[in-house]
Amino acid sequence: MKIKCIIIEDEKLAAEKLAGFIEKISVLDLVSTFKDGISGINFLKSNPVDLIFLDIEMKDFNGIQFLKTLQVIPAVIITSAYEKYAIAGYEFSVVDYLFKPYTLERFLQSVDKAINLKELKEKAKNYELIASQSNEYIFIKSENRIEKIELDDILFIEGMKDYLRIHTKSKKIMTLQSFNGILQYLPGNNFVRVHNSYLVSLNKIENIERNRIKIGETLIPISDKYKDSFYNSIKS
Amino acid sequence: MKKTILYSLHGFVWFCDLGIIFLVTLAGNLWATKGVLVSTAMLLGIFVWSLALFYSGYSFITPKFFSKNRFGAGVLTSIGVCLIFPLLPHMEKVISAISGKGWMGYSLSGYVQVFFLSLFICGAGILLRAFVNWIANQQKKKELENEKLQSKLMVLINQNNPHFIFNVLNNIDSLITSKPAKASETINKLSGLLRYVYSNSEKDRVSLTSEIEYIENYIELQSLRLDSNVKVEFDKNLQENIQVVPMLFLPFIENAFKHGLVDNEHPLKLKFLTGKRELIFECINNTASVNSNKTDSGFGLSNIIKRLDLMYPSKYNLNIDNKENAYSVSLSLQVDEN
Repeated sequence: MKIKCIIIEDEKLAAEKLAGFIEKISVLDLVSTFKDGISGINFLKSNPVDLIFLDIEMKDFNGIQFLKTLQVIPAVIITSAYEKYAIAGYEFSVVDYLFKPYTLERFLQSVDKAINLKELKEKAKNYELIASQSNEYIFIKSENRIEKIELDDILFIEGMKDYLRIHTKSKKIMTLQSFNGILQYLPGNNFVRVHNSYLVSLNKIENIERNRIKIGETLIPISDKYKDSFYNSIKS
Repeated sequence: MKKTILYSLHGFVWFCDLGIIFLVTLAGNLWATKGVLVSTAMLLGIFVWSLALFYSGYSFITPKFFSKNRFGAGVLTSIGVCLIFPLLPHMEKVISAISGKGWMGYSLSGYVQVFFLSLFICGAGILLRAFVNWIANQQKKKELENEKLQSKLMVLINQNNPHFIFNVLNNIDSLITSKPAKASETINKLSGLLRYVYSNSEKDRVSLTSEIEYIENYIELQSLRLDSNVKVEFDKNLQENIQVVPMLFLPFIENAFKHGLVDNEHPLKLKFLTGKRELIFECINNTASVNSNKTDSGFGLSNIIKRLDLMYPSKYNLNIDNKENAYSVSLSLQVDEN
């Protein structure tokens, strides 16, 4: 199940940026975007949503007025350019405040807070946050933190039951993800599956000897199932 | 000057006055020859007389003449007062003289003596008041200077409208991957705006052309925020070298964007007209409703008026007209030419 959300934001570019971020999170379903609070209210009357990204300082009908008008208040993440305006929102138990401009990482923290609400937890069951930005790094939920991992730092990824252990140059990160899940966020020409329990970064391979890949101090087996596809990918 | 200091000053004058008179009566052997009752009465009489003279200088001659730079009239009035005062304690002799019965032993030399004494007392009043006024003026100057500084600071704070800047930054963030060229252009516009604010807020005067450039920069950044759906009719007719107080007009334009209706069908009308020593600025925007142009916090109309009073004392005329569907500001200034 997905978490239905809407954006209420009067600046087009700001809304576009936010929509781009929302798109990166597979559990979020952006239903619609509104330029002002009134059209948002009208929409919500017949289309309940789970989460609202709300710009607090809009012309004429601002975010606070919007919240006051709502009868049922879903989870709300307030976006604001300046703290002064956001203070008014504290009386409504909003999930989080995003101060513009904000990073994808900060955005993920807000979303993480939202999907941990008991109202939304059910819908986001078995979902762990993961998102990538510009082929340079991914953000991944690990225990209670959102880790930022440079793709270039990843040596290999090890599967352990429901978890993955990501080995980087400096640390090991456990995350509740599947190989298929994480592969969507990794560039396929460099990250290749070699075994039911292993995925490697091609440019970190030091040598391959008798179907064993050496990366750092670790020897990673190549299984029969992935043998052909692996050798094909290093050829190309 | 502080009230307490002023009162003690007057107290000191009274005290010295009474002391001197007492010493004079002692020296004149008055107490021994005339008895306590008469001596006390005389002492008090002279005291009241001298204070009256002192305060005619302090409360009348200085404020009425010297403070207004009417020196000739001041000197003449002082001499007049000092000619009359020696006669006051001897009214019966004056009446006798007027009715032709002679001066009853009132001597000219005694009169002249008291005349010079009067000049001295009256002069003391005049000088003390001038001194008090001078101190008060110094203080006022200091306060004005303070206020000016504060107003400059206020401009700096207001112009660095953080809300606007962060919104623009957010827009740039949004453009960086999709339209890098546009993002770069926007960064440069924002830099121009900030540079202008930082380098000119402290100045007393800037050229009108640079001020207008700043406003145009601001408008372009606003159109970016509002999806280019912004139409501004800019009417300029400028004499060269007009100097104005920095960042005087932008608050009105900010207000128009903040509370007004500015789009393709409802253009914002801006006008700058300059004559030889006069500037007329107009800013007219449509409004969605009568109350939408608020004069509250963000706008700070009272701050603008304070600034105008400070920088253009009685040299400006501000008209604000909040009609149905339109909000118009008209400001005319007497400007300096460089």
